[in-house]
Amino acid sequence: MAFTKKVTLKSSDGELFIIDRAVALQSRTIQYVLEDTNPVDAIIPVPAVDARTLSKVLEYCKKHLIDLNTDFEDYSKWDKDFVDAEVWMLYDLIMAADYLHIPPLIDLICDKIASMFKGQTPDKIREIFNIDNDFSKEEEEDFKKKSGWAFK
Amino acid sequence: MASHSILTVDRSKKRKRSWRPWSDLPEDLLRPVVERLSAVDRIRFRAVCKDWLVSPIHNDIPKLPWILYYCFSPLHTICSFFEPCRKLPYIEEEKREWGDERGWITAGSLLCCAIACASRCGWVLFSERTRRLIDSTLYLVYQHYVYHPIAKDIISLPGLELRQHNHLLESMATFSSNPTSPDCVFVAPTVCDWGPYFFISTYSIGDTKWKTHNAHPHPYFFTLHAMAYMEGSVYCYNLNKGLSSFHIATQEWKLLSNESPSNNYWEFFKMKFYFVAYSGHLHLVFLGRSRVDEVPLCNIFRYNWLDGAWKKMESLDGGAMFLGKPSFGISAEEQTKMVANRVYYLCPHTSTPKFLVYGSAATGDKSEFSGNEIYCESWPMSWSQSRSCIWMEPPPSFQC
Repeated sequence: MAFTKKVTLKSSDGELFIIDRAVALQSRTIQYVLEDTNPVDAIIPVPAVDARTLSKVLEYCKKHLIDLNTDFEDYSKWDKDFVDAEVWMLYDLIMAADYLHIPPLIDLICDKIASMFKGQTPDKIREIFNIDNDFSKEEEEDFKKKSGWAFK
Repeated sequence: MASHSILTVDRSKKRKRSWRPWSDLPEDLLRPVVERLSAVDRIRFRAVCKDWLVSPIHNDIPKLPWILYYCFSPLHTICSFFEPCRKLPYIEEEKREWGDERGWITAGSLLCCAIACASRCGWVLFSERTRRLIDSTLYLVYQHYVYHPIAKDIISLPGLELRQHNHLLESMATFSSNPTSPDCVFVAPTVCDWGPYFFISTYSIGDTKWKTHNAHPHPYFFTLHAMAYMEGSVYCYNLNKGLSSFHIATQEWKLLSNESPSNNYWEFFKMKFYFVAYSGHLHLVFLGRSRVDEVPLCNIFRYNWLDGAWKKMESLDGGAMFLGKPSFGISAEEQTKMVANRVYYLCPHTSTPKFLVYGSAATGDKSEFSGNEIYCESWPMSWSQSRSCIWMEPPPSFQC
């Protein structure tokens, strides 16, 4: 097998990440690139992901590769701490996980995002996620009149 | 001043740096998030921004009645909401201690002796029987409350006073629409112990008391076995005497049928029966007693408006029924495929929902059976004895 052991990824802002091939293979996107082109010592560009996010994603990939043998509990605690991040970071992470196609990471972040919705009013959700309220006053009043329960 | 302006600049910069277009999150990523939300949170989710309101992901989720588990006591109100196909609960809990400054009148203290009779638009109608002595005559006073278990709003209706010997079939009281809308009407049937007398009482929000429509002696009824509201009329059913309708606005009675769905009355005598009105049709459902690991026998009849006869349904045509107190039915839609032809019922001992598949291909005891008591796990064990379980109509979703 003439596969190289190391793979180099290049983030959107030009930073290079030299990582084990096995770590990179957790991303199906990269897996396809490697299968198709089999670049020897070549640099794989990851144009949609910046260095900060990519390093975090790779942290996840490394952990999940190395610790396949650790018991379930350790694992879920690590995952929980991993997604205990600012909301903008979660956004960058989920977009990166989607681009790189890492389903377990997408699931993990979706769990986290969904948990942030739990029991919250629309106003509070907008505040948490920094979302602009684009409803008109009339629309909002109509909502509150018909389903006031949702807003308290 | 200078330091203040620096601070503002810093804050706006920070806001800009940390801002992300969440409302534009691709559908493929939004869907798994929404799938993880309880039914209640999902309704709130739509009211966050326009993109989320109109997102096509909502079309994937069928609009089914919810299961409401509740347990009321003077100091503790607990409600737990489930959709029949999903395990995700939404739990509302309210606790009071003695001496709590909010006072101890809670939904739980008002409703702990009441029984649930009907549900619409997220509201549940409860009825409680009390006795009161007025001018040396003993009256039964029926107290009705409509309760919104998510908002924890409660509307108390005036007492419905009945003389001795008259008693309300309280579990059959019902209402027409959202109680906060001006056209909502509450309907409660009354029968008399000692004669063929039968009354319908109605109440509209804003009235000072119930109006009793004296339908006696209504020729067709000694007693009433079931009542259902649909599109401005209440339909009354008596197992022996047939079906009649009462139009609320015109107060007009009509005998629709004096036939029993089957010539063999005894065939159904030992079965539970449910009277379910939906999509313009009336249904009688006979459900056999269910034993553990055994599918109960199920026969559904639909009233034929043209010839006034009950016709046995061979299949639910992709619709579904939810039997209990109260019962619901839905017609087939694109999103209801996952419950197509199912008849859900509440297991009498455990109050857990189960279903059988109704239809010509798999009738009665050949039906698929969901033996899993999947809804128990999130419920605290100590409550399992005293909880009640009903189907409720969910609050309306936000629409564009």
